[in-house]
Amino acid sequence: MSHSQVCNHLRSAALVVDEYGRILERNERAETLFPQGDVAARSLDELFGEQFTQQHLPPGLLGGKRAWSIRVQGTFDGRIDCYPLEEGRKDSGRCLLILIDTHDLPESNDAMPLLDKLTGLPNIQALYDVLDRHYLVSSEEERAGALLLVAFDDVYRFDTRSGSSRGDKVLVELARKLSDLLGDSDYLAYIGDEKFVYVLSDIKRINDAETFAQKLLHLNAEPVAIGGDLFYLNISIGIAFFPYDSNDGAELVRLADRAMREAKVSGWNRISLFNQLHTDAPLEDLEYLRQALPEAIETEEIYFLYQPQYCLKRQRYVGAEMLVRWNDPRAGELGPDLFLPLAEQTGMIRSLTNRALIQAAKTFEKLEEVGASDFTLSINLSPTLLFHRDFLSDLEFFFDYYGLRGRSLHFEITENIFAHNMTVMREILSKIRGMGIRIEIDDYGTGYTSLRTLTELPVHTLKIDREYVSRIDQDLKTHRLFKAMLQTAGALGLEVVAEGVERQEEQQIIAQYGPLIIQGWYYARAMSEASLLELLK
Amino acid sequence: MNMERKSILLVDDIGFILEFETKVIESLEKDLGVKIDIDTAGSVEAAKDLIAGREYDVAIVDMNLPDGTGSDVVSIIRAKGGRTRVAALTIYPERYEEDQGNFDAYFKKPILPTIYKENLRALLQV
Repeated sequence: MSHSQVCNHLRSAALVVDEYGRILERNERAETLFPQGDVAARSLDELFGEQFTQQHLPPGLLGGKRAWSIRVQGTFDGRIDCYPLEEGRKDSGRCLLILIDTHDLPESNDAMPLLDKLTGLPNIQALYDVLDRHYLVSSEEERAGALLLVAFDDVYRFDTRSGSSRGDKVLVELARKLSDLLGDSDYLAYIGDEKFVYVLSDIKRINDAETFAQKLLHLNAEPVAIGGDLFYLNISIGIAFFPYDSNDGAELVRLADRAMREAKVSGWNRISLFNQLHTDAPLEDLEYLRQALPEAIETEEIYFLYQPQYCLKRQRYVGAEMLVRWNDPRAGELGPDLFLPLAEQTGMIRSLTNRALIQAAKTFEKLEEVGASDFTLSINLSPTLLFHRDFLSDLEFFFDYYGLRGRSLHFEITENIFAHNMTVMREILSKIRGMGIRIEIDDYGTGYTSLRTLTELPVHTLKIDREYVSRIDQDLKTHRLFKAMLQTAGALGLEVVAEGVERQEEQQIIAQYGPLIIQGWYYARAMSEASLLELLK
Repeated sequence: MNMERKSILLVDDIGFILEFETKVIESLEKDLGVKIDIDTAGSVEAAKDLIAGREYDVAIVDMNLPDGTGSDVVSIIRAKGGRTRVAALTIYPERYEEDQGNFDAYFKKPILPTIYKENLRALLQV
């Protein structure tokens, strides 16, 4: 076996192999790294054992165009960096494997391009390479998993003016602690700026990734101990899923980073998911639904139910909230909690809202036929949609060409939307109001609407969240808050809808406050358009 | 007043989409002050008959038809010659890469009114 130039000047163990894992060259260090191994081994299988190579170095992974790096445990503990070798400008099918034993770190600097010098973990370049080559390969058995970006808050604040950096030491200790959580097929990298990235491939459900993140929070609750000093750290965790959120390594890191920043804004030691989905549904199903949604929107698979609203003063049904549903031939009946985040993410939320507007126009016509021409219909409006460049022009189109003009249309928006720029907000809402649409604040009482917001914006109705309704007969404080909200609405001249009224006890307490509209199962459940028309006859 | 006239052929088998497209085109007519004649066909066969009788300025063709594909329709239009500009209406433009030479544009489904209008205006060259 020859010792080539390229192999021998490296102090780490190095092998040159072909795409089938046959060993072509090796250096001296490679012969001492595995004292128990066969010096005359002709393949990676013979050297490491078949189980190990199947797991870490399958033939499909060797060869190819880009360098990658993978962490290994077992036969030896450390990392393998793989550099494809070129012949002229073509791939030779051969690659150089550098085997870095954890015990050699950090003295062994051979593989530094892919290794963070301080922590000894793979760096961001290594992460991108391993993502693209190992985790994001599209094949028959598609891999699904999660990318967790774990950011620590300013460890360098512990640095003193003299002596070595305590921040550096904290980071090294963190790298060690985080490595302890690694499973067999997981990967951990340090991408700089006090940010670590886990790649978890054994994730089947979104909840699994959240469970792992919770483990990290618990781990972090213990301070880092260095030389008798204790350091308490804050972390923020952002999670993105592949191939569901993206199938591109750099994009996944960007999405997880965005989620992490959201987690940070909402307070320390939080977890945030890029896609806002908290579900037990398998990731493959979500990917399927994401692809099926555009087609479903143009069919009857997407349909609407109507949740009637009863007016205590007029003693009759006066309106309904439209609720979107999806009956997928494969996945069955789906609720909006599952597919609205998908729609937000893929931009399909605009088409879904268009479908709702067209449906509303048709329902208004039928309502008129049964003599309910002042009956109102409420449509939920996504905040992202409201700020879209084309939102108002699309809306005007539906008003003019689908006959929505002059109808009793309401838009429901959640309180969270008021976190946006108030000037822009006021302008858009005023235009909507100018078209004759009434604005309702949905889930009122769960967000951050200030009284000033309510006076400044053209709001018509407050929909009090069911949280204040469902315990109103059992909890005096809830009862008082409910009353306070009614007084606020009264002072500002706003209408009130109480949501989620289900039991008679709730209805009785609420009814004593007079001119209210009640929405909930106590009066009627969500129903089809045909049932609604029947109810109103 | 001598108003400019344009003609459009819409090919789609779903009534709801034909209705949607027709309304968007009516709104474009109003924006531009141009008269636009609209013919609709629900199949490749129906489209074939209409194409034989008239040279349209623009055809907008759904890729999934009950008796064939949008590619069949564009072939009929190209075989006849003339200057009809043809757009494919599809959720998956990337699936029809081999037909790229035949189509002048791709309109993405589901239809969004403002974008559809902008694209159609460009295709009509008005």
